[in-house]
Order: sequence, then structure tokens, then C-alpha cells
Amino acid sequence: MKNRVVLLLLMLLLTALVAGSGPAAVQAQGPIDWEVINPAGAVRVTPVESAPRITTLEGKTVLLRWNSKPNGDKFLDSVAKLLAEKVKGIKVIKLYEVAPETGRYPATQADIDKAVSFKPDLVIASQAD
Amino acid sequence: MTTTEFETLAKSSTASFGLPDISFVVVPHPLAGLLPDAVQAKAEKAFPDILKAATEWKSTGKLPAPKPAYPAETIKIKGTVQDVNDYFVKNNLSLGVPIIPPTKDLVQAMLKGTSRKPDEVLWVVPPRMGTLTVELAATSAVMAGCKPAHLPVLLAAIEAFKEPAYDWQGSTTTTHPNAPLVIVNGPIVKELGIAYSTGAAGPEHLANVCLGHAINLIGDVVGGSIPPDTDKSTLGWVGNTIATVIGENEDENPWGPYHVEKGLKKTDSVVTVFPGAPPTTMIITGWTKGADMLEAIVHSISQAGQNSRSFSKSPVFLILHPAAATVMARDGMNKESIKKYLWENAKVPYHALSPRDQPRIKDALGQLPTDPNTLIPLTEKPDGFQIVISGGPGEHAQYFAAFGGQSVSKVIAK
Repeated sequence: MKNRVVLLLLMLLLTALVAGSGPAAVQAQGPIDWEVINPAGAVRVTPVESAPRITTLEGKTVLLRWNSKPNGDKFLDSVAKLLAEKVKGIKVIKLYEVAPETGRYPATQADIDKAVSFKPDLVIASQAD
Repeated sequence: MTTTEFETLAKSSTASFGLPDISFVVVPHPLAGLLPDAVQAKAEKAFPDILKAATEWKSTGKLPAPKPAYPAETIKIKGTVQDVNDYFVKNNLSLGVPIIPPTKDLVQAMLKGTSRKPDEVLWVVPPRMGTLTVELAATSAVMAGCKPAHLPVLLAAIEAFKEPAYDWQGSTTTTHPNAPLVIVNGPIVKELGIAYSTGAAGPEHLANVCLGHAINLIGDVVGGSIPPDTDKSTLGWVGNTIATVIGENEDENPWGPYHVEKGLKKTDSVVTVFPGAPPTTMIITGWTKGADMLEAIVHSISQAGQNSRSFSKSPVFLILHPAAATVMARDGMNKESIKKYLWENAKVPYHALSPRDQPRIKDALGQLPTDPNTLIPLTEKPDGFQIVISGGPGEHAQYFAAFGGQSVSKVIAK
């Protein structure tokens, strides 16, 4: 019986100690100075030199590239028609007709090489939906 | 040419390919779904701008100045854990799920899970082209609540994601609601307590959930695939928040582990990743014959609306529960015969398929079908069906169609 009383007192003392740590614990959750690692990481872009720009379309070869998204080909068909009507000596190549396997996204290196093989002065690409 | 809704994605893609800017003509969204006259009208209206862009445009952009990838920059915040979380959400440094603040001490402790050097560059993650070092992989692992022992699985998954075959850039920026499906095989499954039985793809499994969270942190925070500008997923799904990570239930796989089928050793620990669509669940119940079960699966996966259709070059994943696999094996089926049956029978009638599929169908058949009811296989070949055993007792299998891309397996180095 005496042992039980001692055990009870010890438990009460322990409970009081734990309860006493409450405010300190709450205080630890208050504003503090954090230094955390930025998880985003530095951007690393390998620059690519773009082809020289042209200043006229007359007599140039223009390649039209479709990435297979709906109606992009129809849009480019209209552009091809307008270019042929309005620009003297222009040569328009519809890549999606002469090399339909290139009509995908993302373009593979083989698709790009195929486009380059036509030696275009300008590429007009239709993206998105 | 791009449409208004895709302008930001087009511009960010330009930067990721190494150009500071590019000449765009932006037309009002959409093009899809318009009748030919409406498309022609948009082209005619845009034509003067196209002529101008073709001959007068000059680049004025600049690529960001390179910064050192290691050590990572730090952020100082005065406040509570809640304040840190608010800052991270506001600055696109987390996904909206609460994170553990990645202090230097915690990241150092996480790095004890690998022998790789913290300054090693693992991957430059598109579309943002963020440099992912081992230190930053550990940082995402801390934020997601992982333990150091989980880090090697994450590192192996990263090695798999960066393979061009996976098509990370396409899968994280598309309108399709895909997310990584990650399957773990080998001794590490039990060593780390990766769930492979009841509810393996669900909550309460620390290793599965934290790895799924860490993977998507890397995709969105380092890779910068963030809706609505660069992640164009039309509706999205929760797999974009916590990726699906499961172990294979090798104990109850009658045909041997998936990674052994892929030519690896049974004693290897392996991670396989795949850009999967939200899964289709299939109740396989009431039958006593494997052939009947397979027929139910055929009719559950023959969907016209999945990306993996019409001789798709991408694989699809059938996650079979142990009970069905046991019956099928008892009836003499093996993976090869199941794949063959699925390829020959899981088909969609030609008339229900997108007109966009016609080039693929023509390539495969030599000509377009004249009968609109001609049945078209889902995948290019029978081996397009990948079979994994996972889950516990019950009668539900799951099917992960593809976004595109391929599955990639990597051995987990400890």
C-alpha cells in the first residue's frame, strides 16, 4: 500500500513537470529566425545561337512545321496559300506533307535534321491546341 | 505561331532550349474544335503579323546569368513553421502540401543516406532548367518528410526520369493529366518498408508517400512545371501532388519479379518509372477461370479516350492483384500469353478514334480501314502491356494508360 502511494506521488510529480514544460514548448513554436535551403536550384541554360534573320520573303524558302495539334495544319495550309499569293518567288514547303513522321511533339533530333535538310531560310511552326 | 493560352508555355520552352526569345505570333485560343472557315479566318487575320514577324523581328531578350549550382542559396525567414510554409507556397517552392523546412542541418543529415557528393549535378530539370544537385535532391527529400534511407530510391528515380525516353518535358507540360508511376522491386522494398500489399498506392505508408511527394517537388520546384503557365494539365489529378509509388508484391507474384523480366538480378533493388495516366480500376470478381478474368480486363481497358491507343508506341501498365494472378497462373497463363491476348483483344473501333490517329493507323495497316467498325489495337505490339503484381487481398486490378514516353528502370545504388 505504501509503495502504491509513493508511485502515485511520483506520477503526479511527473505530470506536473510535463505540464510545466507546456509554455516553453509553445514559446518554441513562436517566431524564430530560419535559414532554409532554397530548393529551386540555379537555372542552367546552354545558349544556342539562332540563325540570322531575313529581311524579305521574296525568293526565299519557307518551311511550315506542324506538331500534330488539332487544326494547326489547317492554319498552316491557309498561311501557305496566302504566302504563295502575296510573296513573289517564294517557295513554301509543308513539312507535315513531305515528311509526315515529323508531326509530333516534342520534335526529335531526327525531325529537326529532316527540317534542316530542306535548307529553309525561315521556319514557321504551329504550336499548341 | 501559338495561341493565347499557350503563350507562356511557348516562351518558357524557348528559354529551356537555349534561346532568350523567339518570334511569336499569338492568335486567340483555341484552334482545336474550330470548323475550317474559322481556322482560315484566324490565319488571315494573323497573316500581316506573320509577315512582320518573319522579316522585322529582332531578338531583345537575354538569358539569365549563370549562377553556381552548389552550394544552394539559402533563404532567411523570421516566423513560425506556418510562416515558412506560407513563404514556400507563395514563391512556388512547394506544392501546397505542408513541408518540413529544409534547414542546413536537416539536409546534412539527409545526405548521410548516400555516398554521392552533394555538389554532383544529377540533372538540369526542364522546362525551367533548374540544376538539381544531390544536395537539392536531399532538400526535397527533407521537405517531403523522407528519411536518409529513402534517398537512394529518390536518386535512382531521378536517373530514370532524366532519360529522354521518359519524355519528362512533354509529360510535365502537357494538357494530359499524367504523373509518375513509380514501381520498386527487390530487397529494398522490405528493407525500407515500401508498401506493396493492401492499399500500397494509398496513404499511411511513409516511404511511398514521402518519395511520391519528393518526386513532384523536384518536378514543380526545380523543374518549374507549374499550372497554369507551364503545366498545362487541363484538370490535373492528385498524382501530380503525390506521385504513385508502389512496391511489387513479389511474394505473391507467380511469374517472378518485374525487374527480373527486365533482365536484372532478383537481388537487385530497382526502381521503374512511367508517365502514367490516372488509373482505371477494374473489379475482377465472380469468375473462377483466368480466361474470364482476362476478358473483363480487356473490356475495361479498351478505351478510345486514352493517349495510349491506335498502335501506341508507349507501354501501358496492368497492376494485377495477387488473387487474379494466382488464378491466371493456375490456369496455365504466363505473362507472354496474357500480353498476347490483351494485344489481340483490347481494341477500339476505328470510328471512335481521333482523326489525329490516322497517320499511325495507316503506318501500321498500310492503309486506313474502309470499315468504321475495324478494331484497332491499343499498343504497337504485345509487349506494350507491362504486368506488375501489387496490392493485397481483394478483387481490384488497376490499369495505367500512358501519356506517351516509355518506362525506364534503374538499379538503386546504396
